[in-house]
Amino acid sequence: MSYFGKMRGTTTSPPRVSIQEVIWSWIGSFLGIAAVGVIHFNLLDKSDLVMIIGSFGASAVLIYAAIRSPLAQPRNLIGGHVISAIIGVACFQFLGGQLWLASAVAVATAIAAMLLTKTLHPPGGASALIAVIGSEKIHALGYLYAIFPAGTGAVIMLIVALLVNNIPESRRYPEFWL
Amino acid sequence: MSKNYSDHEGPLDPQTLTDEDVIAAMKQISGYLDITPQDFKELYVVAYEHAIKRLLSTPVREIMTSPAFFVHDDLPVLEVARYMAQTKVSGIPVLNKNKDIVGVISEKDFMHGMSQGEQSFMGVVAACMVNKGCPAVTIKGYVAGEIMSSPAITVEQEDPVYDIYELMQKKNINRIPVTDKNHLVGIVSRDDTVNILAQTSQNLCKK
Repeated sequence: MSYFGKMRGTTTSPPRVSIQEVIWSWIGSFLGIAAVGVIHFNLLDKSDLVMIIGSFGASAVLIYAAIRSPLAQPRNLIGGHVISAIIGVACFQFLGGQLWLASAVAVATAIAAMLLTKTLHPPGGASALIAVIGSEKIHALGYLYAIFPAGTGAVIMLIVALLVNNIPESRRYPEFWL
Repeated sequence: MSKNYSDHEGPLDPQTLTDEDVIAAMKQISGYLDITPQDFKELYVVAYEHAIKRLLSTPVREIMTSPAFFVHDDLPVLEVARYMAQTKVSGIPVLNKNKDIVGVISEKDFMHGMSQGEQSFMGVVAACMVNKGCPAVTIKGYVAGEIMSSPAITVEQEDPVYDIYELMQKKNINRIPVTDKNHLVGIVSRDDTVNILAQTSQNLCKK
């Protein structure tokens, strides 16, 4: 196929899912984000800790709405966030003087590390980026950021996914653990 | 006979799968499937080829005819023709004094030898009717080694059936001598491979 020919695409969009699927996706993501949200806003609001980061919104798409996807499996969810978070923090600490460079190296390296470890999880790229461009609160956490909120938040959302995704007859989660 | 093992007509032939089939299946399976119809088809075609290879991984030994008839390279072609008629084979391996396989003689080699231009059975029949003599007279003085096709294309008896199937397609030959460390132990014909292919696709259907 020619270079420009490739840009035309080769196939059609996959079909839309059933309305039940939409409803269960809504319920799962509502409960998953609610769980980390309650901890963040009600339990930790006086502390210097955070529980909710933007990348969890992206994780919710995968683990509650595309639950069969390899990208949405526990290995990818937990591994993707933790590995990317460590890389993000390291980039901020070593390259923080040049934020544009720290951001780019963090995301690119996180993607490479996730591919190499078979933990590709798109929101991981966001977790790496947040470690660089996040608030002072995030920067103050240092490497703790990888465990709290990144790792812990992912685990809480995983528990919700296991509980909710397996309720309907037509759904099952996960496809695999390791 | 088709060009390629994955072209053969069968209920699971991936080439007959359409985008509509895949989309219908994706609708039937509940949940968001993180794959495009095109990617699914590509996966299916490649997985199908792997399945065929696996199912045709039977060693040649299990489908060959053994022992195989053979002739020596110094045998006069008249004797070769008589022997092939007697044993009802249309092709036969040729061995030298050390029992190495040096070639194969088939009906095709006789045709090539005895007629200039006429390289088919009907061509020879026509030549016989036009001339008074038989065109085969022209090769009467030859020995097996002079009209055989050589070098012989052979397979080892432990090779998978898949290999001979490809070899026959590529070289356009109908039989291949089977060897065990260079010694002739049997022969496989195109019919043998067609049979196993038919069995394989029957087994696939049952599953």
